[in-house]
Amino acid sequence: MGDVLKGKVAFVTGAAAKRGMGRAVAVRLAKEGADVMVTDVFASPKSAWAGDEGWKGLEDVVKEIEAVGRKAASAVANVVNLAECEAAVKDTIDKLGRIDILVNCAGTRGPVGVNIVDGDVKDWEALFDVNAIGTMVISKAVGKELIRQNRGGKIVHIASAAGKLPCPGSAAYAASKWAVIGITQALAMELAPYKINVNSINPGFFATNLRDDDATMHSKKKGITVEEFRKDEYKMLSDMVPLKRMGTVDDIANLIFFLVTDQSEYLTGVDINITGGTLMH
Amino acid sequence: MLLENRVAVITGSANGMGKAMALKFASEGCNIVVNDIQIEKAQEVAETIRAGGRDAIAVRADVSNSEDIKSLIHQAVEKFGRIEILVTNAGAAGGADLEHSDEEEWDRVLALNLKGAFMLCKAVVPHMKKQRYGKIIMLSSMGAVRPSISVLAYHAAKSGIIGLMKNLAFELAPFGIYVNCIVPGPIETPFWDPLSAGMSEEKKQAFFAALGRKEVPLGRMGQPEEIAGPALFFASELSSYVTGQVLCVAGGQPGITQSMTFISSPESEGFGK
Ligand SMILES: NC(=O)c1ccc[n+]([C@@H]2O[C@H](COP(=O)([O-])OP(=O)(O)OC[C@H]3O[C@@H](n4cnc5c(N)ncnc54)[C@H](O)[C@@H]3O)[C@@H](O)[C@H]2O)c1
Ligand SMILES: NC(=O)c1ccc[n+]([C@@H]2O[C@H](COP(=O)([O-])OP(=O)(O)OC[C@H]3O[C@@H](n4cnc5c(N)ncnc54)[C@H](O)[C@@H]3O)[C@@H](O)[C@H]2O)c1
Repeated sequence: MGDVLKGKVAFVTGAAAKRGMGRAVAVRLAKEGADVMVTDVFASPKSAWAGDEGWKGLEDVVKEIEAVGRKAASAVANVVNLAECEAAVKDTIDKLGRIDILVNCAGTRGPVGVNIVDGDVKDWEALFDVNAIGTMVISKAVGKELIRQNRGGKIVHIASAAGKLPCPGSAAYAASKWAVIGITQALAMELAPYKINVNSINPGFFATNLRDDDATMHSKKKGITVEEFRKDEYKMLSDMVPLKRMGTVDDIANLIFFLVTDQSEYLTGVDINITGGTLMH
Repeated sequence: MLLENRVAVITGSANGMGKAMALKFASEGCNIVVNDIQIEKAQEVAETIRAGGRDAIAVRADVSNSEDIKSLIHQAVEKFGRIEILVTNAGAAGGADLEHSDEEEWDRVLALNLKGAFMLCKAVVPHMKKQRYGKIIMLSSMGAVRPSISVLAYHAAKSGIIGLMKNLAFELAPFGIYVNCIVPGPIETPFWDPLSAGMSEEKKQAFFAALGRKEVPLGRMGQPEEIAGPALFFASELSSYVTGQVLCVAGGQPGITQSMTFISSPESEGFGK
């Protein structure tokens, strides 16, 4: 257990999913010494993984953070809803005293495999709402507080390798994630005078709850179990990765830990691929 | 500690970023092979590391010379038995615009800034392959991506570093060898001596401050320690799923994903003028 982040408070969105990046990041930052506010649009998101039935979402993540000796708070907040985000920021100040770090892991994938000519504008709007507008809204709510505190800060957003390298049927997700990169670059310049570093990361293939809906749908279509589908899919995806494995949420926590420490003081406005070598541009 | 008992070879580590990396890695538990052509300064760095409780040797080698490189890696392996981390950091600006460039200078600048990295990898990778583990970090330059002055040979070499890095990352991933590249923005090191030679300390500081204000969103030049942080990231398990990457550590200067934009006019004063 480290104390590199001792005295700091982190605000992590999208932190309720059992297998999500948000939970892993929240607990890792706590292990490195930070107190943590965890938020999500769902207090307890469903998981399509066998054995996850008893998962209590935010409540369990708070317990995990407290179990490593740090303070925690939680809030149900939709990243698209400014009032909810501002209330969660206020809650953080009331309960944990300050905010130093924002890690925005809230995100959604929407229907994939739908070409633009067949696309539904409503689906696009829903996706852009969470991934793009949500990135703006949470940046606004937390950014204002960081400026007010005038102690600098660190912001990390999650874009996607699928953004930088779109494939047929992925345009909505890809475009919404390019938006995250654009917001990150502009925000980095806007907040540089306040010594607030803003960066984003582009994950490749990761085993989380993000693909749950997809796995449920496709396994039904094929008449196989979700586990069987997942095994085939992961094998196929791993073969595409130079390091020959899927990423884990611990890999994400490793990178984000670096991005919120003093080791990255001169790093801002960049997006970092975390893809096991799949993506190099 | 992030690098407990590892062994790192860092070229050009008598000064600047290389020295900052050597000290930072050592503070994280790493043993260091300090290399430079300035052997006395290299010995001082090694001495500081040993005084801090880690092992270090200083080896004089010119990275543009293949015999020197062979001897450097031989001495490193002789001393420590293995090499987990290689940083191809030694380098220096050189060259001029097309009209003032000549073949001899081109060859010299490319040998130092590009061929050296290739030869170092050739010498070190067989050891890394045997242990099926390795971390290689290369240094490019913002000017390779977006020139603000015309130094053809140097920028060509530093662009070449990016191609070398990507190909090696692809080739070596199956062996558990990670290859990444840092693109520093303007960093306050002796690298700038050729430009600031003859300036008083006060004038030099004013020059650095003006450059930082003008060109960098964070409003200042970087310190060598601020490159050592990202190098530590690439050298350690913090980068457990990151290979083949170009990381611009440049205080917010527009990086690789953006199109080429000029931050100062091509006529501004610079190396080679
Ligand atoms: N898993 C991957 O392979 C992968 C690859 C690239 C990028 N990403 C991105 O990483 C981020 C984290 O994803 P994950 O893989 O951990 O997925 P996940 O589904 O496991 O977790 C995402 C979390 O965000 C929450 N969320 C969704 N919409 C929200 C909203 N409007 N407001 C607040 N919270 C909301 C969900 O409830 C969930 O808890 C997302 O932005 C995702 O797009 C994931
Ligand atoms: N300082 C900057 O603003 C800047 C910006 C972009 C890139 N870089 C690059 O970063 C790297 C480190 O630069 P720095 O700023 O620390 O420079 P520096 O001049 O402070 O240090 C470079 C070191 O390399 C050594 N060296 C030079 N030629 C050598 C050779 N043939 N063999 C072995 N050692 C040799 C020098 O003696 C010196 O100790 C270089 O590759 C440089 O091109 C620097």
